[in-house]
Amino acid sequence: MEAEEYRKQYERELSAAARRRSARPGPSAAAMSSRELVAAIKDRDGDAATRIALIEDAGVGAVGKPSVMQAFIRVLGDPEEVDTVRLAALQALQQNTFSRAGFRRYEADYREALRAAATDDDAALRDQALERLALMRDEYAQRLLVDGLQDPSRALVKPQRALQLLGNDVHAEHYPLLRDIVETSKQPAVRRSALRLLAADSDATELFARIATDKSEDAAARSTAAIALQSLAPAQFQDVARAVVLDDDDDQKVRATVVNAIANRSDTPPDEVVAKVRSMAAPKGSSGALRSAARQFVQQRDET
Amino acid sequence: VTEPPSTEDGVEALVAEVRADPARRDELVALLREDAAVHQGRGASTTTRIRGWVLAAFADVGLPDGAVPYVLEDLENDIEPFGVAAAARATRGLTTPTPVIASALTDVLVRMRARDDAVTFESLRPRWPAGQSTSALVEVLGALRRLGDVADGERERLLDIRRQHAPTWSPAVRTALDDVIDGLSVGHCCGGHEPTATPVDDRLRDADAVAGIVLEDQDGVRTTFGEWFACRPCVVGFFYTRCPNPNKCSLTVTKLADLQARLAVAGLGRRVGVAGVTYDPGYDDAARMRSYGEARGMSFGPNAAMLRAVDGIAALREHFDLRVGYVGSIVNRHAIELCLTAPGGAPARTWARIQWDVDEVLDAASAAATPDLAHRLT
Repeated sequence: MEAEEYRKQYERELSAAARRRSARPGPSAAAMSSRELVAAIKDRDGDAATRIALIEDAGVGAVGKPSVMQAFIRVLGDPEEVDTVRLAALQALQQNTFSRAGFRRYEADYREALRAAATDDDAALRDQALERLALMRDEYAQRLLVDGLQDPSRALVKPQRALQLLGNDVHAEHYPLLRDIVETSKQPAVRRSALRLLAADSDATELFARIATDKSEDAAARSTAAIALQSLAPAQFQDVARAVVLDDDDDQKVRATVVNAIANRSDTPPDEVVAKVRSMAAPKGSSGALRSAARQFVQQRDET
Repeated sequence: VTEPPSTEDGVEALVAEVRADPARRDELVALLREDAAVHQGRGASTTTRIRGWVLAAFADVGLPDGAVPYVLEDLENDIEPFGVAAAARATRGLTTPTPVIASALTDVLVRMRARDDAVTFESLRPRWPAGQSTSALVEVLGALRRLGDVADGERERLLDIRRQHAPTWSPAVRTALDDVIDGLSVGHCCGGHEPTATPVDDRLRDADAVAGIVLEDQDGVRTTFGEWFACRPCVVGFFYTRCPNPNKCSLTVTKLADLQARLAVAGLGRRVGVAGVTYDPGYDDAARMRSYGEARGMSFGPNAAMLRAVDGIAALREHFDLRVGYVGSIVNRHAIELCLTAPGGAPARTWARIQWDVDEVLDAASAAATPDLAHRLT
């Protein structure tokens, strides 16, 4: 999920939660004893909307109420429970993780419940559980995500989402799979995600060099490859940069990325590259992002 | 002798065979070495899972002597809940538990006090929800309880741990701790038996094969192995700057700095070399090594350096019999290891897996630096 889309989703969730609270009939968590509250939350025969409302009400500050927290964990980890109620329990638990010391006593049980939820039939619950586990660098979640990328019939989330989640703790053992995705995937966004995760793979320099210079490639993938190459193999990057910068027919966004990249390096590019970038910085020498990058390059050169 | 398996399926099959025939338990020990084929090319978490599965089997088939250093190493240094839980479970297979094991298990409770996690030993590749799960701390406490009166000396420390840490633990962990304490006898003294590495005298290997390897120090100055290690005994610790475990590389280099300072006080600063050699020469460049060493108290000079093999890391691994595994060029797991070399660089004595004692290494280095003993080492 892209950042913009995520922000919009988050705002929608906040608005929906506010609407639910204001329009909510039924019992309030504050008016119930802990025993009554726990019983109502765990009551599988109860109305799901009411239970969700109670969980949302009780979630704030629940970390200090062990029986309530245990009820949340039990609901989250129970495959027989209603998915929307489990999701509400997950979100209530997540709120309380911010109280780090207080939450510590629930940590092991919480993780176990998340792992149980990670393979649930409900996509939203699965996604949220995997996201939490991925942030914790959980081995089981990583194994599930890799399994899904290797065998789409076992995938729990879409490939791009799996790559995004794996990106929280990418390991060198994942590199062969990521290289394979770059070589074979037909989805540009998936390929770009895989390329980003390969940025520390010293065995991928040839792949980066090839993609960065291939004009038939997706421009964003070429830019990603160029930046990764600059970090991994600076000498090889200079060759790529030269080819891209000197080619007036090449994609303007890719050229802008490469000019930006060489502007932020301490070593000096070849004279012909410097001259070319200076010409791009001149009025009418180029346009948009490319001219901005060229001007930044020239400014930095002239200052040093 | 059959080769140890190199695949997860192979490990699973071997563990099943050994469970059916516990007399073959020694066959599992080779799978614990960091450079075992099954660990090569796998990430750190996968390696931990495979090793843990093997260790846990020792609870049922008996813990062979050869596996005890691995168990102590993990109890003393590991920070992964599954790895620690597996080592604790392995102690169930001990025929004669010792207070050292009890002490190591107690240490785990402090080190892992904020790192508990749910674990299961149902299979090599477990799925959740698991039929039988526990937590790392519960597993450790279960192991302590099984030790019975061997753990009596830990009672005071456990009471202290209960006061300090138990309030933040789950009810299951607190109950397990209470059970352990209730089962221990009052009035026993002297817990805290720290395990320390027992040095092994190496069969002196010829250093000619590595003499030409180019080494680069923390200032980017290049020399050869033969030149740097000539003329004096050296203490060599192994590290890499990306090591995520503070009990391993960070502590090793800190202790090397302590050793270096004490050698200087003893007037041996010029007669014993002190070197940190990186497992990860592709990433650990001169600047990284300098900053890592300085931050941990190393003072660099002609007899003290952080070194990377510009080429020939494979030959160095073989020369020192290093206990390290890789995925590509990245370390996935390694032991704590320190070597005293004879003049010329041949390994003479090695401390491995369990924390080495600075005093003991100082004594050994001092002895090696005296001409007659140094002569004996060559």
